[in-house]
Amino acid sequence: MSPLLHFVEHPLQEFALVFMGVVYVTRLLWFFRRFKKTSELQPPTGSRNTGRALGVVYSLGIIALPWHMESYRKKPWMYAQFAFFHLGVAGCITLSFLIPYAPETLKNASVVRLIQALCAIAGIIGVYRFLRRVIDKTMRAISSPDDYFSVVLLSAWLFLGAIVAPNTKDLHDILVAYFIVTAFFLVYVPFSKISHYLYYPIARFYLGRTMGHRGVFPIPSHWPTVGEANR
Amino acid sequence: MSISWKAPKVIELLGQRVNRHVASSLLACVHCGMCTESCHYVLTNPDDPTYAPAYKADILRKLFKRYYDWTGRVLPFWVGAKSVFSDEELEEIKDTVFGKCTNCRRCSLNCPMGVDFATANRLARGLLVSVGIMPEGVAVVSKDQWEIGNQMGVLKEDYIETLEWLSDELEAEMKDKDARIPIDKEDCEVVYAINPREVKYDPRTISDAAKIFYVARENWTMPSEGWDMTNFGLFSGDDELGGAVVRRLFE
Repeated sequence: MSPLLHFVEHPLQEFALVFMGVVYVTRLLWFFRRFKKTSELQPPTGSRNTGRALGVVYSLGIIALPWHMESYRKKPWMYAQFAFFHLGVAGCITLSFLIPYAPETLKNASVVRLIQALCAIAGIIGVYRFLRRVIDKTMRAISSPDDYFSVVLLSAWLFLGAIVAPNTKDLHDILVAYFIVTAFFLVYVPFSKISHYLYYPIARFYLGRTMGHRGVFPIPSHWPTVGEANR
Repeated sequence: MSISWKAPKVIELLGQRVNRHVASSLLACVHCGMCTESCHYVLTNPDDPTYAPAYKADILRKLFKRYYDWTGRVLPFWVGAKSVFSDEELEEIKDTVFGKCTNCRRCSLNCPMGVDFATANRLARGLLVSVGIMPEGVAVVSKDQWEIGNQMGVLKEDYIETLEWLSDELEAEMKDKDARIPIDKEDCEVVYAINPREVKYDPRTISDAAKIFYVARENWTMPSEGWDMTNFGLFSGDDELGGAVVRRLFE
């Protein structure tokens, strides 16, 4: 291994990881200290099958119940691309740990092929997402430079991941590029929209709690009758 | 375009009022556009992106990012953070938050991220109301709810008089002197509050309800005070008015 590759695989990644961790912890502390608690203005309502705790569980789990969301019922393709895109990102993140810390894992051709497939599919979806953001009038209206940059960078990183997954010596230069982009990501992500996963469980928690409190979550498989709804 | 003294106040109040629920919604949105699939305004105006829930929520999000989020304070252009300076801009925000969203929450239910657009929109309405910016109709009915106790400005004597002649008609129709609308009767099972439009424009709905209560032999009453069951404070994001109307009805 060249000193350059060793540097980008280890000290650079480790610094970037620590930096990201520190920024995330700081962001969470800022969030919970800066903003006041949320309180409900009305008493709890709804059937016995609803409530705050059930609402939170439902809200956090609804991502696995796409048929419960009208948006995904209408366009199941959007759910499929969402799922594959995030599986690809998970695969590419895993790869960034396997190469420096468990390279022997990548001697298994099946593992390499799986990661390559996930990254390549996600990269193609990333290109689709970028084009959709550029072409669709509504998407353009709601997009900021960060939205475009994030999806372009992520797509490039995913394609790099698909290429470097075999982790062979002839991929030296591309491996260097992959780890430089990975380190950049780790530093950039906490300040960009990509950090949405940090706030995702918090937003879902509050939506679930308030909708459960109001007797809406969990949305039942059948709507309760008047008698059932009256506690 | 004139610099507004109201704009800095709106920004200051945003910092005071935004809670974790709204803040997480403002921070979590990834602009995926899925909310557009479920908004009835978008379905009616498919070629106008300004009706997209994410676009509408961005009005508040831009302000929030500009003043209360790290990246937006350092690189506002990069994350679409933006301030507000003039009365004209505040009027534009008013047209959106009052006129392009009903706070139905359908987009919130269909957002993969759990972004609660409706709560953010209501917060935006409340910020504007705090500096006196709201649709004229909302201002008029809110004033009447504060000053007279109901949104149509019906005076107590007119309300009582209407219930009296409705009672007389009911008594005649049912041929029963007990068939009357009870007012402030104690220990009842049902307190019947109404939309003030009923007493002002179409009192027959009240007598229809009274007939049902009479036939069902319900132990019911109508209050002489706090009989307005509508609440423009809840609609406009004015929590003070919302609380006052509910308290009046409850007491």
